[in-house]
Amino acid sequence: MVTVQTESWKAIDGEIEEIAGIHWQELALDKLLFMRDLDHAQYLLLDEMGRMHVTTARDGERLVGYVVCFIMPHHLHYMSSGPVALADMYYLLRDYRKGGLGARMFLEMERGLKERGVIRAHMSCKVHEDHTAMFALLGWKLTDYTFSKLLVKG
Amino acid sequence: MTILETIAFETDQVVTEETALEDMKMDSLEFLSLILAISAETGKTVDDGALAQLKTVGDVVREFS
Repeated sequence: MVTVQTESWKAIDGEIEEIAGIHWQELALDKLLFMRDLDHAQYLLLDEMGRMHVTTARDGERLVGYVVCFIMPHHLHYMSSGPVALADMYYLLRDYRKGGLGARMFLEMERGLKERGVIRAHMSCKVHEDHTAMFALLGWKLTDYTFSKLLVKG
Repeated sequence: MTILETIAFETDQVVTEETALEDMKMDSLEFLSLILAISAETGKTVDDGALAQLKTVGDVVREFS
């Protein structure tokens, strides 16, 4: 049976490459310029600093999904506020997109972030893989539009 | 309607308490809509952590009972 849980980045670092590759294939933009090449050293360093929050879905021991956030002790604009979470990436293998598993990963993420004292979380999704409706049902508010532009020839 | 009947009705599937959520034809939107429907029916809310750990229809029935 598939489970959702909070884990450390260190716990998944050794096994994330396979699923990250599938994630990249499905969702990455500008693939010629942005080859999948996870900076494991940086992730592990941030994890050691307590700046990562990782939620996983596992089928037995197999990693089948993740939601990865960065944690800042406070937003740099609001020094006296509190910890904030910024989404890094999330993904669930196609065969597991059923039974509400995706939503349950985000619910576990919220539980874990609250337990850490995070006061606000920021999430985004790709325009071509729009999960706005799911986030709305989870209680997220649309607050920003995010833009990107290639500054070199792709 | 019992919670089990609500689940069967809302998802239009034959289910028992042993049915695993992962075996149901239900994406995340449908799952969340189902939870909202059950919450409205029972007048009960369940916290995020408990919802995240739901694995079977029986788990849903017990959480909202």
